[in-house]
Amino acid sequence: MRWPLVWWRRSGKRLMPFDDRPAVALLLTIATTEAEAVTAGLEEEGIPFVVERADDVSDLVSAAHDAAVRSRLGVGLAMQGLQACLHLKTLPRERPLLRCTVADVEEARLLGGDAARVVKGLPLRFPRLRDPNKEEFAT
Amino acid sequence: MRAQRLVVGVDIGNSTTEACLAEVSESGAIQYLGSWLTRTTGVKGTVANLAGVRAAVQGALHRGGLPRSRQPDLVLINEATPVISGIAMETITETIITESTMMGHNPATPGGDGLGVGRTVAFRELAGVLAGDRVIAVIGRDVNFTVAAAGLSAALARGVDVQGAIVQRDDARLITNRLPHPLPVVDEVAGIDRVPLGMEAAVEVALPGHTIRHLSNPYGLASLFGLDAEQTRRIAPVSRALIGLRSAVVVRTPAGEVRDRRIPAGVVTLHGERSQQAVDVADGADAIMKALHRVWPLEDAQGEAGTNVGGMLARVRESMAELHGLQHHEVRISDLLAVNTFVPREMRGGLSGEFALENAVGLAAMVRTSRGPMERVAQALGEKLGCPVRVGGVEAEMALRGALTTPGTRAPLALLDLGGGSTDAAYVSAAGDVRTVHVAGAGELVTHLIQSELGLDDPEAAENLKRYPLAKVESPFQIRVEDGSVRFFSEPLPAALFARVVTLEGGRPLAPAPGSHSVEYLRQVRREAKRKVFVVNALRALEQVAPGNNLRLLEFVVLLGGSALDFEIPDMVSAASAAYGFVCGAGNIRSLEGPRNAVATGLVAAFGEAPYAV
Repeated sequence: MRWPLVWWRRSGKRLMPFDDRPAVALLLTIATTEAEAVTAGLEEEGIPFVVERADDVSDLVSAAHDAAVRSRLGVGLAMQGLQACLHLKTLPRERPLLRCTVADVEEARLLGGDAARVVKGLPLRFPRLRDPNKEEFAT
Repeated sequence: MRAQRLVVGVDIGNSTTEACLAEVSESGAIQYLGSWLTRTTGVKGTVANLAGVRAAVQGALHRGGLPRSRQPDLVLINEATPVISGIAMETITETIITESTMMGHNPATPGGDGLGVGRTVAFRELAGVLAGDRVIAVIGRDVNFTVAAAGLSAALARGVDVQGAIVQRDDARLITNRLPHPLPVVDEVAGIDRVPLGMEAAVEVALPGHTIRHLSNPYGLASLFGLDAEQTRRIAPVSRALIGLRSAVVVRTPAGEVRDRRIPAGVVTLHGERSQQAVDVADGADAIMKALHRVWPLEDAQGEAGTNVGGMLARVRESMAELHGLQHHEVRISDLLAVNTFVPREMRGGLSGEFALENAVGLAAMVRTSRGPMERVAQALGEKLGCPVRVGGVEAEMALRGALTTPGTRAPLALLDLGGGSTDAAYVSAAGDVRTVHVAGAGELVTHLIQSELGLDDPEAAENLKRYPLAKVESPFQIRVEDGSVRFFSEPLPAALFARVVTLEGGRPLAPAPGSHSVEYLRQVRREAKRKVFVVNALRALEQVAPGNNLRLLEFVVLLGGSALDFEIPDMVSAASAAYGFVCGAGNIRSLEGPRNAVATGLVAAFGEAPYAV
């Protein structure tokens, strides 16, 4: 049993998926070992994902949000080299869940795992999450 | 003589200093103006309390609409018997895994499902295994999952009966997804180097939502490894340790087992008026409390040198002796409370950080002297503050007077002061006779129990878990509170709190709870800790001051003190006392202070009755 890579086809200006299963949308510009580790993290946690290729991403956070909107699970991960952004459909565009530079393959694996854990409703494991003590809360 | 005097009653407590400001006329008519509360500075009963007293007085003046610089005509402080308390924890059991015979760490994402039995073989040796051999592959972190899957697939293709795998990395599903058919794989085995090789082993993985059936059953192990009755009896603790898990590994080593060992924790000697009893802490809290009951009333207690309990009792004695210039033998342990608890400890010999809940005993002890140095303190404070400072009365009596300002109360009345270091009870009869008692075990012990039972390093985290209700963060915008209600937020919560259990202050997430326990589990630990200390001690203390030591003869009980402000402790105490028929609830001093300010108010109230006595 393998998770197939799915390619998006362009129809004019719109992207249309071949495969419409509930999956995390992973947007990549280059295939790096870190990107592979991200997919390994998702696979180990058992959540389906769909890989999209893009030539270049000017705004990583926006791209991640768009991917999250396309994803039926509402989770999008955009990666450009070592820059990564994990976003949710429900979050405001400018406030992603995670925005980071992945230090190595181990962290990339954790990031992929976290994308899956968001779907599963489990706490995140990535090491440098925003400190809750420095956040403001509105009721 | 001025008509109206500005009087401040000041209660110097162990942790807080409270003030009550009033105008008292010649005839003793009192007009309360305001109150204030601040942290006690220095040790209670010393001149170091000055800063706290000054802050409390000024705060009360400000609250009363007067300038902070205004000098009161009189400051009244309480005569308090200093109490020093201490807490010690002793772990009394230990679980040891010998010969690395089992793995029961229950990783989150094991691979495949089913049972595999075979000889343990290192991955690099797999190529040399003969066709038909039953093996369990042992795969270290140096092997990438694609290489691992390829190696296992190749061995299977050759006819080797690979029945399962034990993997160091978190790669179980990555490997099983790439095999021709799934195999049970247990991953996240940190100590893979210590897995015995060349031995018969069994790997079992259950489907999601299920638990293992064979390895958690001693007869299952007997069937797999061909054990006789005696061997089965010896291996039974291994299967017991694996009950309820989704995956496990058992390696049949020559003498491997899981051993529960009782740790000798030292003897505590309890001295009563007429007899004495020595009891081993390792016998548990019930044995200690039974022995205490037999020698009651307690004259003194000693612990064995070199033990946690012995060290704590000696420290508490020494603190009191030093503080009040007494000899060691002049200081007596006046009460102790033993509580059964548990501590999560890593099992010795575990390969992947397996934890076991070990039994432990928590012990709180208390020393008291009969007379405090408050006259001297009053004089020194008076000099520093520049106004007369007098000792206005005995703490317990002042507390009772203050308690009686709670609407709906009358004498005979009992009060329970639920503090940090001790739980105190006082009773005033209709005739005005007062009985008081201090028992060991209060707020600090509750925090210690929570800290110990959750294996927390940080006492502040335990304090938060004690004080605040819990909620689970279900999405970036909503939390589900422990009572089932849901709160929404218009701004997303930070990623660090996602899916975590958090403590709530004023309905807002305060901090994530450490560890990965559920809301229900943390709630249970919190409430049990409060029950084991405060419900037990409330009844224990009230019994000692009640008429004829009979709780049923009490009519009104008022709860005071910091822990009476806790969101569930007063209710728990009230509910537990329902059987005895007395009215019980948190006090409401002067109809507005809640359970605070009783002693400070009482000092003013007592003064009002005899304004020229001081």
